[in-house]
Amino acid sequence: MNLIHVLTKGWLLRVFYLLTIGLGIAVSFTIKDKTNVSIACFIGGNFYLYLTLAYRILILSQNDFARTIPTYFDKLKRSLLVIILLSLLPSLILFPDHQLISSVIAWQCLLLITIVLGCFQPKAWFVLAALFVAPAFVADSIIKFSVDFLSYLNYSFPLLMAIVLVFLSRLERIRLSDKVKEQYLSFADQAMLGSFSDAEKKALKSPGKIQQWFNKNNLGVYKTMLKDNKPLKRHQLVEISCVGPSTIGRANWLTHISVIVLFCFMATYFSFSLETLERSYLMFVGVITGGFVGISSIAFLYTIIKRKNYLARLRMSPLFNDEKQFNQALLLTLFKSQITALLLALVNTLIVFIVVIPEHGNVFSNTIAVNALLFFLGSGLILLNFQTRWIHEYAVFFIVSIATFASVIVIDMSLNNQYELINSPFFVMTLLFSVALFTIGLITWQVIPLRWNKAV
Amino acid sequence: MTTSIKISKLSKGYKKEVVLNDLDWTINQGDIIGLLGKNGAGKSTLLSAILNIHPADSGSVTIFDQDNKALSNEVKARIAYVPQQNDEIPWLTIKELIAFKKQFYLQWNDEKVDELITRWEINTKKKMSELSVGQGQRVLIILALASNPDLMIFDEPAAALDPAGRRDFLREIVNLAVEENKTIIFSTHITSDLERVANKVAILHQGKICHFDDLDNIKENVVRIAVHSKSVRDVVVPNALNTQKSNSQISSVVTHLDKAWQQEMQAQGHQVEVNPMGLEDIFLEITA
Repeated sequence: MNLIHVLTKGWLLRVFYLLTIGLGIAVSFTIKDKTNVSIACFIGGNFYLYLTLAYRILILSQNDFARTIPTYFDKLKRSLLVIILLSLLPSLILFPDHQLISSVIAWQCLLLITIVLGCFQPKAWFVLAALFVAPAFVADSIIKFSVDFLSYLNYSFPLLMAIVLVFLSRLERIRLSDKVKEQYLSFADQAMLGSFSDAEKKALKSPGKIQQWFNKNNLGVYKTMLKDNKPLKRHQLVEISCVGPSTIGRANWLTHISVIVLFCFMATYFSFSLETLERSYLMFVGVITGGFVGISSIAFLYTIIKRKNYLARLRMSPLFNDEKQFNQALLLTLFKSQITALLLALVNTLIVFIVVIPEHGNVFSNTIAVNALLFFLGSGLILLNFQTRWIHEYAVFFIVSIATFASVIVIDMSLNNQYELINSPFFVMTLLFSVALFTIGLITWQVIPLRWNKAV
Repeated sequence: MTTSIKISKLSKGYKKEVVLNDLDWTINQGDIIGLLGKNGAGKSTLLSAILNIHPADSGSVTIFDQDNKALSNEVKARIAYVPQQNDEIPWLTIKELIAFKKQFYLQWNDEKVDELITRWEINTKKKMSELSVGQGQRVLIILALASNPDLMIFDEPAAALDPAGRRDFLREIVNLAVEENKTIIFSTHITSDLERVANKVAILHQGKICHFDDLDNIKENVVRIAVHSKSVRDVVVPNALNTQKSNSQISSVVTHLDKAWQQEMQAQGHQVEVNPMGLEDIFLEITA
C-alpha cells in the first residue's frame, strides 16, 4: 500500500477518471471537430482527480501522524509529483499541437494550484470561480489578444509548473489553522456538530446588519424565529437538521444572480463575439446549473446519511405523532432542497439565454431538459437509496456525477448543432427512466417504513 | 541516565489564554510517566507540542538530543504517538492502514500486530471510520506498538477502552517497560491505571509541571496531617497546600512531610496524626 495507491484509492475515482480520459481519447480519434470535447473530458477527469487529491493532501499532510512518521513527507511529495505528471500525460495524445498541449497543461496546473489552495484556505474558491469565468471575459473583447486565450496561456506553463513544484517542496511547512481545518471538515460534512457550530459562529460573528442578512441560511432564519418566539413547523425542524453544503440560502441566490447579471451586462456592453458568448453560456449555464442540480442531490444524500443518527433521534421527539409525519417532513425537506437548486439553475439559464443568445432556442430547451433529467434522476436515486438501500450511495454519487458531466457535454454539443434533445429517442427514454425511478422512489417512500432502527 | 526528552521554557497559548507557561521538564530513558491534569489543563497541548505537531509559541524541546523542529528520520522511527482523537486515514481499511504504516519503518513487528489484532478481535476489512471509538483506539495502539519505538506518547489511550482492553493495554506497557526499557508518557484521568503501570507521576497545573516524582515518593510525601492540641492558633504547617483550622485542630495536606517539624510538634505536646492519601485525592488537593 504505497502512497500513490492511498492518494488515488477508490473505484469511483478511478473509473470516472478512466472513463473521461478514455472518452476524450476516443473522441480525438473519431470526431472531426474534436478539441472542445477532448478538453472538456481532460479537464473534467482531472478536475475530479485534483479535487480528490486536494482533500487527501489536506488529510495526509495535516494529520498528527504526519509529523512523527519517518520519511513520510519525502514519499508523499514524490507520490504527488508522479500522480500530477501522469495526470498531464494524456494531453500528449488528446491534443494535436504542442502549443495547445502546453496551454492545457498550464490550465491544469492553475486548476490544481487553485483547488489545493481552496482546500487549505476556503477563500481561494473565489479564485477558482474566477478561473472558470475568466476565459469568457478575456477571450476577445476586454483584452484584445491577437492569439486565443488558451494559446496565450502556454507561455505561463513553466511558471505554473514551478509554482506547483515549490508548493510541493514546502508541503511539510504548511500548517492549517484548527479553525480552517474544522470549517473544511464541516463543509465536507465529516462532522455534523462542526457544521452546526460553524453556521452559528458565522451568524454571530457577522459584523453588520447587511452581512447578517446576506449570510442568512436555514439555521439563521430559524434562529431568528426562535428568538421571536415563533413556533417551528415539523418540516422546519427537519430542515435545520439537514443544513449542510446542499443548503441554498440568500447568499447563494444573490451571488450567482449578481455574477450572471454582471456578465450579461458586460456581454451587451462589449459586444462579445458569438463564439465567446457560446463559450460563456457553457461556463455559466452548462457547468454551473448542471453542477447545482447534480451536486445538490449528492450533497443532500450525504448530509442525511451522515446525520442519520441525529434524524433517527429527532423522529422520537413529541412533535411528531408518528413515523409517517416525520417521513413526510423529511420528504418535504428533500423536495425543497432539490427544487431550490433546480429553480436557481433555471433562473440563471433564463437570464443568460434572454440577454446573451436568444437566437439559440434549442440550447435553452436542451439546458432545461438536462436539468430536469438530473433533478428526477438525483431525487429518485436519493429516495431509493435512503429507503430501500438497494443502491449504494457510492453508486448514486457515481451515476449523478457522470450524468452531470454528460449534461455539460450535451449542452456544448447543442451549441454547435441545431438539435432538440426532446426529439432524441435516447434522451426521452433516459428521461422517462428517471421519472419512473423517481415515481418508484416516491411510492416506496410511502409504502416501506424507513429503516431507522439500523441508524440508532 | 540517558535523557529522552528535555523541555525548556515551553510556552503555548490559544488566543489570550495561556495553556503552557515556561514549562521545564526532563524525561529519562525507561521512565513510565503518567501525566495528570484537570480538563483543559493542557495535557494534549503539551504532548503535541513535544512532538511539534502543534508548535509551541516559545521554548525548546529536544528528543533524543535533537531539536523537535528538525527531527531526523532515524529519531522519528524511534517515536510513536497515539492522539486522543482518531485522525487516521478514513478511506483505508485497517488492513491497508497497517500495510501503509509498515512501509515507513524498518523495525516493524508483524507478530505483535497479528497477535493484538486477533486478541482484540479487530475486523481488518473495516475502514477506520466504520469502527467504534474503542476499536479505533485499539488500532491506534497497535500501530504505535508495531513500530517498536523507544519513546511512546499516548494521549488518554485508555479513555475509550473497555476494562478488558484497558488491562491488555496496560499489560503491554508494563512488558515493554520492563523488558525493553522504553520511555512511555501517557496522559490519563484514570488514576488506578496510572498506579498500576507508571513509575513516575507528573501533574500539570496552571501551565507548569507542578509535581514530578516517583509514584511511591509522591504517595509517601503528600500526606494529610492533623494536629490536635488545646490551642493550635500559632502552629504553622510547613509545605502545606491548604490548611483548615479550628481552636483545637489543624487539618492540612502537605507536599512534603517535614520530619523535624513533626518531632518538634510532638515534643511541644501536640498530637500529630499523619494519614497517607490515594493518588486521586493527592491530585485533587494539588490542583484544587
